[in-house]
Amino acid sequence: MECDRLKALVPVYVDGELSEELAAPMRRHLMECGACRAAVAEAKAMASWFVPGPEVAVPAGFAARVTQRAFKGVAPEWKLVGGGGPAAPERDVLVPRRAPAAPDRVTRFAMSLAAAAAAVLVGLTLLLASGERPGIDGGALQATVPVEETLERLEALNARDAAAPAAVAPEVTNTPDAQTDPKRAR
Amino acid sequence: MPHTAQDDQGLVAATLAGDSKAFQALVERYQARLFGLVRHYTRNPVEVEDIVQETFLKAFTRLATFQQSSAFYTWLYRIAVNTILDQKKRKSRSPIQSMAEPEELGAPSAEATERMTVRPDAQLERAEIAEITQRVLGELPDIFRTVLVMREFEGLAYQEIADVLEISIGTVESRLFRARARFKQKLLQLHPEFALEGGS
Repeated sequence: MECDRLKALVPVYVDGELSEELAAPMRRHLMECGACRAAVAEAKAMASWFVPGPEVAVPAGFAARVTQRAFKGVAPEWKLVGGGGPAAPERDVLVPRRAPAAPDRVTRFAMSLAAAAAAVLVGLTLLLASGERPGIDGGALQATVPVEETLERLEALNARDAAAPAAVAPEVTNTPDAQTDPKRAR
Repeated sequence: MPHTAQDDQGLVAATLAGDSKAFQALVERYQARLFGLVRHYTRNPVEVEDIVQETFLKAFTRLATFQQSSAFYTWLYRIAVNTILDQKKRKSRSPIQSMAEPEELGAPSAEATERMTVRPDAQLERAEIAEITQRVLGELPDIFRTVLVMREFEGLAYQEIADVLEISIGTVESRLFRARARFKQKLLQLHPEFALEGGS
């Protein structure tokens, strides 16, 4: 009975993790029980398999490189994704961040061509639009005749019109209405 | 005070204040242990270096969340273990067995091996024993390999294992028990020549 209870504790005892409260009776029992001593020997034999392998050499300058990358900013090449949030940050996964690819030569050429075509189109549109504007190159709008001279010409025209009313009348009398109106005929 | 003489908490605080040399001192302090840990999971030296580097970079980016009341190495170790398992998961593209529900895996059928003692041959060199052990460990599910590595190679106490894996001490005990039984079973399967009748 004692064996069954204590045997289950053998691995913990061999690991040195058994409380003194339990370890003391275990030691006393081992003094008397060969089967349990064999169980302890068996557990120790198993432990003898776990020998460290050859030392893994840390690459030269590893710490300096990691530090440089860390302080340069993990962000440029890495990002943290997923994980357990602030409560369990160790669950986050650091994955490479894909940098935006630089355009290749063909893409750059196509982009230049498109830009040139757009510039030509804009130029043509402006040119056509300017040609359609009325009076841009007309004499009246482009005239550099001084205002005073223009006013003098206008007055002269008015005076001529006022001085020669009869010149206009014969044209009127030729109308059919004038032939039927005796007053206007005189 | 030189950085090498500072304790972990002091180096963490100095790193958070922007002292790169403090962080470098932390890396130098634990890099060998992490290299030693990771090599139990992959023998490819490039992969080992990548995982250790990723562990330190993750630790750096999350350093502000480190609780000063806990041990820095336990925290770092936890990051390393999760990084290893995540990396294996990404690499294999197949789900690994959950760390959270190990007991569902069941106890190995160890009746046949229970009465046998498996002891390394006295003629074997240490390097040969280590080679055999690594091969057997490589055959074990990650949950068992992880506790064995932590206990047998890293020498972590049950409480530290419980902290890293976020499980109870009772679970640590039972998982270690199962892991050892599975290790022995696999060892006998691969190397029956090491079996000695007349164990317990």
